[in-house]
Amino acid sequence: MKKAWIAVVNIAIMAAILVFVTLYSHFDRADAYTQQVGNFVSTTVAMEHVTENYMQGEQSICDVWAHYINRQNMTMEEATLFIRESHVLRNTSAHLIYTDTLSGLSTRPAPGSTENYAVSYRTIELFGNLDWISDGESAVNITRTYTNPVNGEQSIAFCNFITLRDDETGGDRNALLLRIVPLADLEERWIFPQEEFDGAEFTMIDGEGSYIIKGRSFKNNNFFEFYKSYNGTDAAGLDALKRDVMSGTGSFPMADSHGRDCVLAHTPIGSTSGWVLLSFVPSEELQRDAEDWLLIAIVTLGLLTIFIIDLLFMRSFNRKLRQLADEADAANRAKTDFLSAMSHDIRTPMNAIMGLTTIAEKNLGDAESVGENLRKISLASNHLLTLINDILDISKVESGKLTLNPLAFSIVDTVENLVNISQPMIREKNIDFRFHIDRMEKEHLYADQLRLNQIYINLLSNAIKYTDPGGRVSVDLREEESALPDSVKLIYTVSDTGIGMSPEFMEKMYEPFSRQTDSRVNTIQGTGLGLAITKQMVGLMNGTIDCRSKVGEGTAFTVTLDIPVADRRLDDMRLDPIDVLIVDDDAILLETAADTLDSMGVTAETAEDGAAALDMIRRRREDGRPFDVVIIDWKMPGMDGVALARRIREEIDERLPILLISAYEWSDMEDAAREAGVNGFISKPLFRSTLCRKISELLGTEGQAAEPEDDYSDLAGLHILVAEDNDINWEIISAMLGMFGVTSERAENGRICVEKMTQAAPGSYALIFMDIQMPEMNGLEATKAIRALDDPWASAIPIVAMTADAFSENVTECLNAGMNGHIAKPVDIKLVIKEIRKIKERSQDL
Amino acid sequence: MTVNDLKAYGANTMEGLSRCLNNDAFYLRLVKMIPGDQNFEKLFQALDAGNLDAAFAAAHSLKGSTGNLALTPICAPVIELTELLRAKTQTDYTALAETIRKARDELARICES
Repeated sequence: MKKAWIAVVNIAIMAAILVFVTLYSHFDRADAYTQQVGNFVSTTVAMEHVTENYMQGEQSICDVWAHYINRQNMTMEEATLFIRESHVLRNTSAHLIYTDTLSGLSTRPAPGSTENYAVSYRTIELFGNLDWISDGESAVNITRTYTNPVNGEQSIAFCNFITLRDDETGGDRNALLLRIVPLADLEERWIFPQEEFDGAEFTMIDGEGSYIIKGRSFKNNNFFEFYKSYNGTDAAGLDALKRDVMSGTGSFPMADSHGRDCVLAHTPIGSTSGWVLLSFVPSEELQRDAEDWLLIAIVTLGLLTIFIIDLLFMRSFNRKLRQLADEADAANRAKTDFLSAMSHDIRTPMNAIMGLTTIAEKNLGDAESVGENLRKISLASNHLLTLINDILDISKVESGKLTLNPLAFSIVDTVENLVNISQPMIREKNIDFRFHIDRMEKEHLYADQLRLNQIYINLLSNAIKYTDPGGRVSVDLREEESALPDSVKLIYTVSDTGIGMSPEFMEKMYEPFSRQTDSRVNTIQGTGLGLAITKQMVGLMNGTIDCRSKVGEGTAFTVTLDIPVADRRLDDMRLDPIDVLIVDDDAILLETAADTLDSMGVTAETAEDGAAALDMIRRRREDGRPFDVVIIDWKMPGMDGVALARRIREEIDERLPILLISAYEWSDMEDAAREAGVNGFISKPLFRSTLCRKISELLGTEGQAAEPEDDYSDLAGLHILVAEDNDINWEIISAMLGMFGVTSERAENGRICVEKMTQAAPGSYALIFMDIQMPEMNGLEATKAIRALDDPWASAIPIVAMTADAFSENVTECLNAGMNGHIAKPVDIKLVIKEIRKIKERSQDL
Repeated sequence: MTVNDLKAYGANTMEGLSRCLNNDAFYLRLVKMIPGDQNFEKLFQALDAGNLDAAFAAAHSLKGSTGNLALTPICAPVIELTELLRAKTQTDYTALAETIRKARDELARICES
């Protein structure tokens, strides 16, 4: 669904809501308006009632007067007097006029005089027709508004017939009694009670529409004419209007004389037939205040805000999702690539093995051919094994499952291992191999030696692999201060003069299976995983790996690791203050070796070649301060070490102790060297301990150059169960273990071993050494039985097999039975200790 | 009995001593236990009876103990015998058995002295 759609839908909904709100508001207004009109009409009706009551009231006063006058048979003068006296209100007055002459007397004098009470209605067109005045009980007889002839005020009059005695004629005369109410009075009563009807006006019209009482805004003499003049309508419409107005209560809109929209309410006045009370108000007064713009504004704003916020949120969310999707895609693709590369790489050697097997099968008779094929199969399977191991490592690391198993180890051992492993390759390719150790003070470190090995060996073997014969590979290992407490910074650099790497390749060299596609390289065996694993391992150990390379010139890899120092510290090795000469064409080695010797209390001198060395030795001899030991490098240009040794022996000194340094295995040239007069061999790297040991051996001084006492305090108190049927073997092993503070208990065969385990209290044994070949129950069966015990300690106790032959007592069988490790017989106590320590470490990790 | 006697007898005393933590007394004590090892008789009987499996078990055990102490005159033929028995080779073992017996008896004599 496109993003635009959601916006469109949102906007549509918003618009709908706004429209609704507007319409609602509008209709609400209209409603309110209608309501107000209704209110107006009701008010009008109320006014009508008031008016009616008033009028009836006034009329009844008139009636009362008329009655009284009639009964008393008063004369005009008497009647006038009477009424005058009964006036309560100041403004009202009464006129009595004879119906024939339409003149008579007023109860109040004309203004400005006190005597003139005469009043005449002859000129007023009011009483031309007297039919409308009725005598009925409830009838209200009101005149229209007219000018009061006595005082000129606009007034209305309530009328009644009366009969007056005429003294002159002696008979009765018909007369009219008029109770006069000034219009002003009336208007005072007609005030719309509500504030909103400020501009409202009242009017009374009669049955024809003529005004009885005319409000200011009402024009013309007849309401309907007024309507017609300002509101266009035809005769039919007007008739309808008349009927409407006369027939009942209601309202309708109309325009007034100013053209304003107004509302006219009408209601018939009940007591007087045909008369209608009209009220009139400009529409705008009935309108509520202007559209509730505020409401709409706020609603709009609110909706907009919601919309925008949602939109922004959605956008950012989408962006993140897309990013994640891309990443997942990339990872997926990487995995697919990895899998396809992997499957190819695994199948290649596998196919080779299968092919070779087939060939071997076909040529069973030809032993040489079979042998050759088996050798090739062996190579291929080794390669396959390496590959599989590497892949497992990589996947373990990537899935975060690879854990480091640090233990205390000797960096010396590691490095020796390194050199040993590389020997064959180095010799084969006749590569100039240099190894420098600089300032290695701490020999025993605490780290995962296996992984460290992997890293170092991998880089070194890469360097060797990719360097042509005759090239040079140098390894630099030095210790520096570490920022971490109790640690040293190990810096390991491998540089070579090999084929180098292009910048493009360097970008992805750490990826699995990436190999520079170069014709030279394709002939080189490799899994392509080495660097990938190395990088991962370095990362796992929180170190850094750095690379500089130039195509055709060479490469240098540097691995920096901060490694904690193992508790065991080297005792300071010191030698007697002897004089030593070191001869090597490698200036750096000279410096570092001299340094090391100096720190051991030895005075060291250096020479870069055989000729210089001979000179120095000769001179010192003559000075009477001969060298005590000479250390010569074997591989030197010009005069090599062996040749130099021979010359020393022949020309200078037969007995001067000579040590030959070699990065190579010396077994080949050992004989020749010894013949030339070399006393001993020392292999690179020239560690403190190595130098110390070899020199002391040479000079026969044991003394201070003692190997540091191994500290076995960590083993003291361990209690081990040993299952061994042979008495002698038992004696030996228990004595050996006892030497290191380990106590042991014997089980003569498998059955007894299981029994002991069943009955033992948890924790009573640290581990079991289990001989395999035993009577009654052998080691494998015993192990299986122990593993099946209920007690969790018993079923999980480490069991180490003591195997006599690695093949017959199948190591895998042991592991399958549930054993944790194995040591070979005859028992090498050092290996036993190592095994015990390994198990202790593992159990501490848990 | 001294270490030198054993050395003269043909044992690789250096190796044997190293396994016994270079403790002469300990080494000699252990060596003294060898002649009395029941496995010798078990081996001879099994070989006579043609019971190769039992013979193998006994030979294997002897290989361990004599090998540990590097008593080469006994150890070497025992090793050879063990391998043959492991492969269940059908052959005449009398010669080997005799060699072993002789070596054991010689050792016994040295231990007495």
